[in-house]
Amino acid sequence: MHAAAGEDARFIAGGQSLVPMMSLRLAAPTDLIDLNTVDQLSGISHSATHIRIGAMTRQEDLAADESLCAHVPAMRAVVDSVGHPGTRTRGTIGGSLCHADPSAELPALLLAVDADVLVASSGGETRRVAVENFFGGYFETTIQPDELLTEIRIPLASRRRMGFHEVTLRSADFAVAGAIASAQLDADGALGSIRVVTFALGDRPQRLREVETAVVDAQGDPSAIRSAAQVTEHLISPLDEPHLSATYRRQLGVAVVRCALEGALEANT
Amino acid sequence: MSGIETHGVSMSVNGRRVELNVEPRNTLADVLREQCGLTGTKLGCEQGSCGACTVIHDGRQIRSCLMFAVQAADAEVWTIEGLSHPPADQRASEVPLPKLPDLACALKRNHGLQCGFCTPGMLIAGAALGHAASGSLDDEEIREGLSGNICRCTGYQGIVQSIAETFNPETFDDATSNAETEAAS
Repeated sequence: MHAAAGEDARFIAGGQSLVPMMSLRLAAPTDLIDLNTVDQLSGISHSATHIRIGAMTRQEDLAADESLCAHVPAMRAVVDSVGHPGTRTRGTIGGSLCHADPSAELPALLLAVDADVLVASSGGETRRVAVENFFGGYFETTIQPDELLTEIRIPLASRRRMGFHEVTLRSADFAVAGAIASAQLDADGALGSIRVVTFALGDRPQRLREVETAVVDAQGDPSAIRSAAQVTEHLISPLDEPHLSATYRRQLGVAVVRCALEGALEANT
Repeated sequence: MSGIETHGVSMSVNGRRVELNVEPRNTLADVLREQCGLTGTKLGCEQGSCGACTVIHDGRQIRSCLMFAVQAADAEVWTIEGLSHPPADQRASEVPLPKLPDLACALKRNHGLQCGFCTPGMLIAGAALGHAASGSLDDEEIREGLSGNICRCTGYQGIVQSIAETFNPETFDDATSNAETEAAS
């Protein structure tokens, strides 16, 4: 269908980013293919190993799903930071991923919980892509023109602890720095592994592996968290903007990573 | 303007079925204002930032400047006109946000509006916030819930106060009066 409509056609999900871009003349698709009528793309279900979220599931419905929020403890706080109440009723999780705004929270959350996505092509094939390999840069994904994101899969984890922190200049404005940490505890309560992800501090959400290793090696020791977070400033590549210098944003990066780490680990100590 | 493709769209607006002929590019906000004559829905930024165009679409608040009218086919839409003055033949239980007229009265009492441009969107977003709340709303929750609705006149104090009075009745027992029925539109 996309092929028939031509190369400047776009899928429209919730439209909460695409339509403003059209209003601002930043996007001028010749045709829009509306996914809102495709019921099969919406809904949250469980398999034996994963939570499956349809790409067209509304952001508001993510926060309302008790079971999803139990498995992904930061989900509600993250969704509350996405846009406004009046945009979360339409905005979708898949749309947020495909828009690939580096300051968006949901892509960072999904990277932090090691999610992967299903991408269907017009030829009828489906491929599975780790969220880590989904983004191509500022507002770019690795999804092809004849492909469509259909589903997000989050691995089930019963002992997942999460922390989330972001800095915005105004309430509900785009983040200028943010971090999400997702810790996996062992059966005996010890810190098994942790993922630390920053957003709005580079061209895509980014895993900080050196920070992760340092935190696990220190088993979440509070003084070690501080020094581990400090490493962040060498790992991120924030934009240098008139009112937000890259130097300042590196400092913000250290601060948000520390807050996210503390949030994920405090329930553990 | 010949040659522009139009689509026949049927939807329910304020409890009445309407048949419209719309271009695919027309937003729901434009069609409500220009074809339905419902100019209570305001267009401020037309980019989804200001919240003045907020309406209820299938039970949820949405920005009508970010939805194309063709996308609202077969939907149930409520605007400030229908929410403030529900049609007499409509059962109260079928009208979303039943406390919106009370909130309008509170806004009037508390000087929660000046030019009035943001008021329809503010009323719908505020009433939706109160309607969804399970318990009492604190100041911060109200401000956060209204963060997507911009008012350039009031400084928000009267608006926040009005929502607290309307939806936290245990805190403001004597302040709420349903005698006034005049609603902003």
